[in-house]
Amino acid sequence: MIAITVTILIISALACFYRVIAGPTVPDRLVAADTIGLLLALVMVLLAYRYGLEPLYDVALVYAVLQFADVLIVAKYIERGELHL
Amino acid sequence: MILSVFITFFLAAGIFFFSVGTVGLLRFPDVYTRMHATTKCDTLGIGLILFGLCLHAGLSFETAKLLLIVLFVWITNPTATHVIARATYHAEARREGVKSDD
Repeated sequence: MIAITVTILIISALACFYRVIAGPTVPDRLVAADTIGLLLALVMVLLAYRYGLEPLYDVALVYAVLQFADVLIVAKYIERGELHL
Repeated sequence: MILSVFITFFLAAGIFFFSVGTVGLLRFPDVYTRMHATTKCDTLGIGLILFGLCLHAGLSFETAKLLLIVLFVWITNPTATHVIARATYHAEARREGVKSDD
């Protein structure tokens, strides 16, 4: 069941990647990239559970944190047109 | 037996929400509607799939980590979507030369 879940999640991540390439505007690409990041964190958690790899849980958590920071910075860039960090 | 039925139900519901969100991301016409689709798929899909894994793992250290991941995603994902929507709105208002409302 976990193998089927991982397969379908990777297929939907590839479908989201189409929107990253073909999205008409920049926020479209950002939304699709956000979804891909969450999907890959979830795939990491599922693989960690399936194969008993304890450290991969922490990797998935840090990946979610970094992806949140990434989205915040790119959204600020879209909003202002430049970065005032 | 009953537990495996529940686990399969949770995983299948999570897969369903992720598939629906991906179809919405591909098919909807606008940034805001696409955001609407993917936010629901992310929140509900991650919640259901990781709750299914928690049921499978029982009461252990892994369950605590899974619940931590679910809690973090449930806090940060609506925030990120709100920030993207606000940025899109302000950028469109600036591009069209209209003063935005807030």
